[in-house]
Amino acid sequence: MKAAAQDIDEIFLNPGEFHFGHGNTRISTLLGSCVSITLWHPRRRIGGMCHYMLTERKRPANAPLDGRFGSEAFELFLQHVEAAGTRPGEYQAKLFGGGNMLSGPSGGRLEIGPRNVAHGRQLLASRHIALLAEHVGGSGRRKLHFDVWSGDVWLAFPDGSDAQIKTAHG
Amino acid sequence: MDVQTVLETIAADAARGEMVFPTHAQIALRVQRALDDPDCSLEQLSTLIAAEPILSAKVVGIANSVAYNPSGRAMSDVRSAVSRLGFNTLRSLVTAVIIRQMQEMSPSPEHRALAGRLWEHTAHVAALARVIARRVTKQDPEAAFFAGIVHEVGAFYLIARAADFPGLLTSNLEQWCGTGEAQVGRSVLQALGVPANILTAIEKLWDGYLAMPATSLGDTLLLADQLAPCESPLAELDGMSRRGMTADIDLLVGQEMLSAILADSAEEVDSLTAALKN
Repeated sequence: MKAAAQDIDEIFLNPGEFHFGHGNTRISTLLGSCVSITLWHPRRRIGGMCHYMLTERKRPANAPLDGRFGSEAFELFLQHVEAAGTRPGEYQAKLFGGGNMLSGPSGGRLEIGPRNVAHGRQLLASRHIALLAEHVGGSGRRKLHFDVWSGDVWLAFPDGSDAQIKTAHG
Repeated sequence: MDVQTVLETIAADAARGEMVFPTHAQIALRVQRALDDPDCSLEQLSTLIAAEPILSAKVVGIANSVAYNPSGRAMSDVRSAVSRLGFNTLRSLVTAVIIRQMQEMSPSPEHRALAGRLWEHTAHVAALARVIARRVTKQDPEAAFFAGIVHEVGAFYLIARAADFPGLLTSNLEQWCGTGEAQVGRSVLQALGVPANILTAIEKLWDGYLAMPATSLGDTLLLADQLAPCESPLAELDGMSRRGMTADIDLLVGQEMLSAILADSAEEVDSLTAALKN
C-alpha cells in the first residue's frame, strides 16, 4: 500500500462510527460481518465512510441517528452530502465487508453479513448512487483504508475466520 | 528447532543458491539459460525443449489452448508451438516445469500431495492473472501469467524441504503468513532470477493490500489470488484458510463489470488452467 503523506489526518472508525471529510484524510477500519460504505465526490474530492453492524431498528422518537444501523448511517451520509451543497447521485460508492464471522447455536452461519450487504446495496440504489466496487462476503476480516484525496480504497483480506490481521500497516 | 528458525534456515539455504533440482528440471534450467542468450535460435531452443517430454507436452498443450489459439487450429510439433508462444511465454512455461518438479524433491507422499494441491491453486491464479491483466488492470498479460506461476514458489520450496525438518508441516505454521512466506519466497525468486517487476508485484501480494480501483501488476495478482476457486493448502496450516468461502468481488472496469468479464473469459481461463495442470 502507498504510504500516507506526513500531514494527513488519520481517522480510525470503530463499529458504529462515521466520518465525512475532505482533503488529506485517510479513514480506516476493520470489518467482520459489519459493512462499510465509502462515498466519494470525484470533482470536489470530499467523501466519507460508515461502519454499520446491523441493517436497521425501530428508532425511538427524538433519538439521534445511530451509525450502528445501516439506514441511520446512510441518513448521516445524506446530511453531510446536503451540507456540502452536493447531491447523492454525484458520488461514487464502494461497499465492503459482510463476512461470515459467527456461527449460530446449531453450528449454522448467522446471516448477518449477507443481510448487511444487501441492505447497503438497496440504500445506494434508492438514491441512484453508482456502486463502483464491492468486496464482500467470504470468511474473514477485512482491513480497509480510504484516501479521501484520491477516492482510492486499499483492502487487506488475508485470513480466515479465526485469524488476526498481521500486516504492519496501520 | 522452532518454526521461525526453520523458516530462516530454509530461506538462507535458498539465498546461498543451494537449491538442488531433480534431473528433469536440469533440462528446464538449460532451456531457461538458452532463453537468456540473445543469440539463441528458434531451432536450438526447439531441439532443447524436445529433449524434455514434460516441457514439450506443456509447450504444445498451452499453444493449443483457447488462450493462445482462439482460431482452434491445432498444432502438434514443438517448433510451431514455440514460434506461436514467443520467448516470454516460453520462459513462464519453463519456470512452471521447474516449480512442478520441485514436487519430486519430497520423499513424502503427503508432501507431494500437498504440492499437487498447491500447483492446482497456482494454475488457477496464473490463468486468472493473465485475463485480469489484459481486461481489467491493463498490465502485460504475459508478465501477469509469469507472476502467477511463480507466486507460490516459496511455498513449493518449503514443502520440498519439509522432510528435513520433521513436524514442520504438521505444526501451526502461523509464522508462514507473517514473515516466513516473504522470507523464503524472496530468496527462491532471486535464485531463479525472476525479474524486478515480478518481484515487486509479489511483494505487493505478500503485503496484502488490494487497491480499488485495481491498476498494478500486484493488484492483478491479488485479485487472481482472491478469485481463485481453490486456495493454497498452506492457508489451512497457518490458520488463514477461507474455508471454501470465497469473497464476492466486483469492480466497474470502464463500462463493464469484473464479474461479466470473468464470465466472458471463463473458457479462456479454464483452458489455460487445464493445460498447466496436465
